[in-house]
Amino acid sequence: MLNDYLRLSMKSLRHRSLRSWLTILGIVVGVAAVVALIAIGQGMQRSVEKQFETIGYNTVIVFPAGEGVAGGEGPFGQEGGARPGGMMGGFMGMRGGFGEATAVDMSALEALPMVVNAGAQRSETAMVTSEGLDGQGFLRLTGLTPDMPESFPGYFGGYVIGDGRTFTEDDLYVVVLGHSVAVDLGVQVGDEITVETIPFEVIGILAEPEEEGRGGFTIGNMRNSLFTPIATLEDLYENPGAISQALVEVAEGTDLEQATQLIETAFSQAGTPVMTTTASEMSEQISGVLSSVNLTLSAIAGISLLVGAIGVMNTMYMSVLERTREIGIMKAIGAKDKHVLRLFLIESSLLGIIGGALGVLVGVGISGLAGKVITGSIAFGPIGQGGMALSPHFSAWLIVAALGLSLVLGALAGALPARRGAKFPPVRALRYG
Amino acid sequence: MIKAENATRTFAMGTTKVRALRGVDLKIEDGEFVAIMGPSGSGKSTLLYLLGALDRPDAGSILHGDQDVADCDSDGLAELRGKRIGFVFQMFSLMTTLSALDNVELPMMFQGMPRAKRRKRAEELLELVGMGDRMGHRPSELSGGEQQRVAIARALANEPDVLLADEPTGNLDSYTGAQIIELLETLNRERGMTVVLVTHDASLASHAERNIHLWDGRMADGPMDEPSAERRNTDAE
Repeated sequence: MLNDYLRLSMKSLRHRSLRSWLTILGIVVGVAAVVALIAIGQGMQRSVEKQFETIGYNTVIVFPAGEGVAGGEGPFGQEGGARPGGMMGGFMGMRGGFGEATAVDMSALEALPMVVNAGAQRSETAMVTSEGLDGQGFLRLTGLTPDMPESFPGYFGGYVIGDGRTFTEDDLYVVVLGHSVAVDLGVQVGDEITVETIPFEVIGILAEPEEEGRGGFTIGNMRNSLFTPIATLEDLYENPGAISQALVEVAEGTDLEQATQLIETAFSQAGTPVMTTTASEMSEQISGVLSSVNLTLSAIAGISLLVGAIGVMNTMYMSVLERTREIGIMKAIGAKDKHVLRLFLIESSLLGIIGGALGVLVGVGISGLAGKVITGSIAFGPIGQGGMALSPHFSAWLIVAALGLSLVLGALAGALPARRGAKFPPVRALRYG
Repeated sequence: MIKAENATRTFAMGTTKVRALRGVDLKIEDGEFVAIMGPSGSGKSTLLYLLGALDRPDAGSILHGDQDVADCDSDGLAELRGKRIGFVFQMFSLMTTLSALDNVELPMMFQGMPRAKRRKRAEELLELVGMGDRMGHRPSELSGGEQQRVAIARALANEPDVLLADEPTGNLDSYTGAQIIELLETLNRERGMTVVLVTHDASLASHAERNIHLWDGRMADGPMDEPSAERRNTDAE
């Protein structure tokens, strides 16, 4: 019996095809917006989670807590400063640079048996000149504990030597250049550049990253950076023992909360207090922010879906009005109120579900396209300029929910017009028009 | 048997009340062919709609057998129309989006008849009215006479006791109109179906066994039996 009503409704919709398609278009726009925004939002969230999974959750990030260490502004606008929020703001807002480097006694970690690896980094803005460069450039010079890229591969994903070698404990005034820096300075491995007033030997050049924006977790875009042993920076800028941040890997299975407490206590006892954070803390915070953004965007998209539903209601009212005499005929030949109601409800539900199905397809297309545009143009998340590829995520529930929602909205939008049609007295309907 | 007892029906037209029927008494026996005649506005169609359970009287009763239309709710009236009454309208009133076959199937669909069964019956009925070769055509592809034949086939779909025809030839040329009247006569004569025909055309009414005349919502003895001024004043509110 439902088949009969479906068939009749389809015929009726086809008969008014232009209006039907325009109404469906309203639903398509709404559903596509909802699907695309949710898929992009979920894709972002998953990308962030994936990134954190890649770097591992057993690393503690340490920042000096001494005076003068101020956080910058994070990518989501939070101000850094006093801990604990300031620490996160500072970290997230570093954009490849840090606050003023402060001395931290890294030997304090030696007393902690769960520490597997540790490394420090310090960033300064350096005046760089070379023979191939007209004038001078101010570039970010990052000093690293030499084995840091190897010990923390998740944090240094873009640190891949393309030409030459990286530095060791024995090197001092040597530098590894990011790919773009090398091109801009017009130098090759073996050439010399001048940092501040000191000549540095170029011993390595990083490979050009395969993906635009791919860099390291903590040091941002490596294309435009220079890397040197951290000891060189102490020599160059004084302030011995100063670091911008340190990475501390603890043994698998260690209680991370307890480990951070112990690390903070150890540094405090050494007279150089620090702040700490972990990948999971950052992941949670970023996920929280992303969830709020997604919810807001989805609500905005929901408004367009509501407008689409109002379009369905308008079409159905028009349809009932135009077909008033038809309603009279149906009643004259034995249709009950419920038959007429069913017919119009199925019709509006069909508008909803067809719009929903097409909306899902369009939404998939739009979000795929948007993912490519976003990946190519902006970076997001804690990675700063590091960035990552964004691929929208379509979960089964999203598709089912989008279809279900459009069906329900179609039916609800058609309910009042259908009821009006069903309740029309047959004689009045037959004499209508 | 259909019986109207002092049936009264008043419509509101804005602030004015129009008394379309002012107490009609009428009895139509099973198998009769009756023509209801009268000028425009005499209440012919209102009476037909009451007899056809499309409307309820304000006062009085309309009986189909022992079932009073005035006592039926909306679903009850629909049930009565669906099972016992067939309608033929002046404007054919077919569903424009459906084929002739689908149109004839529609009343059976509302009665819950399985598709295969109703399709077979619709085909038989279309054959009966001479539309066997035009079943797949839509109303827009059919002539007026053909559309009215389809409408008659649709009216017969649920094997009703009575066929109510409201000016069925009003939109047809005289030749086609005569064919439609002949079809109604055949149904009455050969199937014993009660036919009630509303018309203002005396030549059409002459095909009926009995003519009923209406004038200003009242039964009249003949076509010229205009109620007296005294009666009109009595009726006025």
